[in-house]
Amino acid sequence: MTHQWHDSYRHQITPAHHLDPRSKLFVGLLFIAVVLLTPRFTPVQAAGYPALILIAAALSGVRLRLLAVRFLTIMPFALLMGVSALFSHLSHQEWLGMLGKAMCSIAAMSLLMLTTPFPDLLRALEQLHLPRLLVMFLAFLYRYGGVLYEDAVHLERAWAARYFGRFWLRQWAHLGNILAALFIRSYERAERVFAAMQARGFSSGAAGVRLLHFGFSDAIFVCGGLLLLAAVRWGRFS
Amino acid sequence: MKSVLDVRRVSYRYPDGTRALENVAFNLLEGERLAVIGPNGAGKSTLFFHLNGTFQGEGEIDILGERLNGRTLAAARRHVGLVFQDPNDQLFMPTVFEDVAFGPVNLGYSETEVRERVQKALRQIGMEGSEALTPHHLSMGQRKKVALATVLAMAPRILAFDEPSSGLDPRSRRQLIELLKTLPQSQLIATHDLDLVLDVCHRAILLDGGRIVGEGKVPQIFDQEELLSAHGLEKPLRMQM
Amino acid sequence: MHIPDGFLTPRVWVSLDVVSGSLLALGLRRVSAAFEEKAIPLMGVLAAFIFAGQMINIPVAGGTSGHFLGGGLAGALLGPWAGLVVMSVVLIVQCFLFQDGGAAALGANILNMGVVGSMGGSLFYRTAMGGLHGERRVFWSGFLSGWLSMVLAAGCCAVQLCLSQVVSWSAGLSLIVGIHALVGLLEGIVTGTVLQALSASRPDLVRLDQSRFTLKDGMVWMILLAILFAAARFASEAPDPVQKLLGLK
Repeated sequence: MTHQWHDSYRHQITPAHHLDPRSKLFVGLLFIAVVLLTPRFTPVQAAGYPALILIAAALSGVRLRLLAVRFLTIMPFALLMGVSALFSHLSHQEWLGMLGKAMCSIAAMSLLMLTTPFPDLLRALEQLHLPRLLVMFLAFLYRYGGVLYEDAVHLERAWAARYFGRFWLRQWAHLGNILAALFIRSYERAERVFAAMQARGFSSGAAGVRLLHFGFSDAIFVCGGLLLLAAVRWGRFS
Repeated sequence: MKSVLDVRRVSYRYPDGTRALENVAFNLLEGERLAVIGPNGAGKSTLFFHLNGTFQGEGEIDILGERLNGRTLAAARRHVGLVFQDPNDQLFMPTVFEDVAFGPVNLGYSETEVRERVQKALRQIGMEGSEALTPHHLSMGQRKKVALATVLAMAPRILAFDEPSSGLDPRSRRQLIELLKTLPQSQLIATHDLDLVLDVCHRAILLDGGRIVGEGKVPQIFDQEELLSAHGLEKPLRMQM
Repeated sequence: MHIPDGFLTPRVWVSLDVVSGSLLALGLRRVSAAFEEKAIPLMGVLAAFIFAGQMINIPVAGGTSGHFLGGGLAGALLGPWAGLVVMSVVLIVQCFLFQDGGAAALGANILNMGVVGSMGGSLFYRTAMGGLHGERRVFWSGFLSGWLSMVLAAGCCAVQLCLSQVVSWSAGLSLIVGIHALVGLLEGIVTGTVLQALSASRPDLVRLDQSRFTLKDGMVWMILLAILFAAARFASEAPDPVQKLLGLK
């Protein structure tokens, strides 16, 4: 039983999967922050930032086709927002810079998710001191999002099999009934899961298991990444 | 033969007043596999939830000789492993490892000990190496096995299964039956699958309307056709030929 | 309505990250206190519910399809803090898994859809329930909650984009808010229908006990609006201490 959204990142286990997710997350988010905080791209930066992504992608072992497909799927949405920016007082250069930043961020996040399974990302977030409660919420959404979507699809099919009208507006009202049924199911499932958690000794104080190990390749990756990033951002090349 | 579970005159009423269990009394012997059969709504799930203290009704329950109450609740949950009907309710962590580790972690074991227990539990169900998988990508049969592993990792002495074979294809069902026979724990199995009872269980109790209406060794209990049909059951298919 | 990275200026996204982060942290504490041990399965599964609901495609006239956002519904059903937490969880997962909305822009998106959308939705629902009468008051309260929360969320989004000089004020407000005022009608219909259906079948699951708008709610709103106002002023003032700090000026 597979789902399109769950599986968009399961195509490949790369060498980069073995890096500690904390280092990938740290470098990835830092990259995005530095790019976004660069006021105006110099030519070096305009070429350098994308180059850093491509170098990281090449070193990670990700199949470039996967990254490209992922990237091209997301870009149109950013472009759409960009179109509205044409109604502003931005110069062409500023507009391109804005889109360039959007592209860098999307590419960086895509690469991060292609090299890091979501559960690993959650462990990294927890050990980087994101509140445990929030991490558990994220974990549960990841776990049950697909399950509840299937429930919704079943409900929708049952409804569609008995609905013969064509007026689209009615379907929005019917969505309301489907969601109400889904909500009740979700709530009841939450109660059963709670019972299952208690049956295995759950109490809110328990901590998780430490499973991450920061290794030598992580140190090289982080140091190398930071150095290159600093070079592109602040280096004087002339 | 020592009794590992003693249920004495347990009654339970739902918040809205309906009687779910009435004077239920039975015991489970060490190493025994006891079936709980009966029509839908008989109270099988409610009974199971009494065994780990999720519900508290009137009457007494002794687990391994200790009375079940507020103080002994945590120990009871360690000794009695409940395997739910829908594995999706029991597999709530993002990966198999984290799900199977959940119980041991809550029990306070060290990281190495937790890892060992997880590996041992996965080996018992025949799914070593599946630690990194998301429950989402497992088939129903695999999910049921992993749900069992989450309970086995806590090393319980008693296992209680709620409809273990429901939703399984024939091969998975056969694997489950063989697995149940190899597990050393004493087992309580609530099921509609009477052929499974015939295959696996030593004894059976018949529950209907919250009461025990029959009890006997397997397969002799299935000879009582009137009793069976009076409570919405019939003989296992294998015995009907 | 998810804003990607790159569109907002640092003043805007940094200040909003701080504001939303603080509100989310506060929300986590409130939720943990309100639901105790049940918080994890309940909020987690309900976040999955909103997420699943958003994934359903509904046809809109002309062959396109739309999606339900659920901010107003989350707020009406769960109350302001749980609604905020649930929407934030959804937005964070969407950002990472689908790159729907930027990472730095999470603060802005959470503010729009979580704070304004969900906390606002809760406020509107309670107020409307307190003020309306009749059999259909649950539906109309839900409708208002869904529609208003979407319009205001779009308004905040437009303000953020305008402050970042990505859109002109006139185009931003008319286009973005205008489109969402229309889309919001559909959101309102769904929100109202869900709440009406639930109060008929499972009234215990709907927060009907909080149907009166209290003075305390009003005060909470004054504080939130003040924070937002301050953030907007801060974002449009020069010189900018944040940018100075980051060595950009």
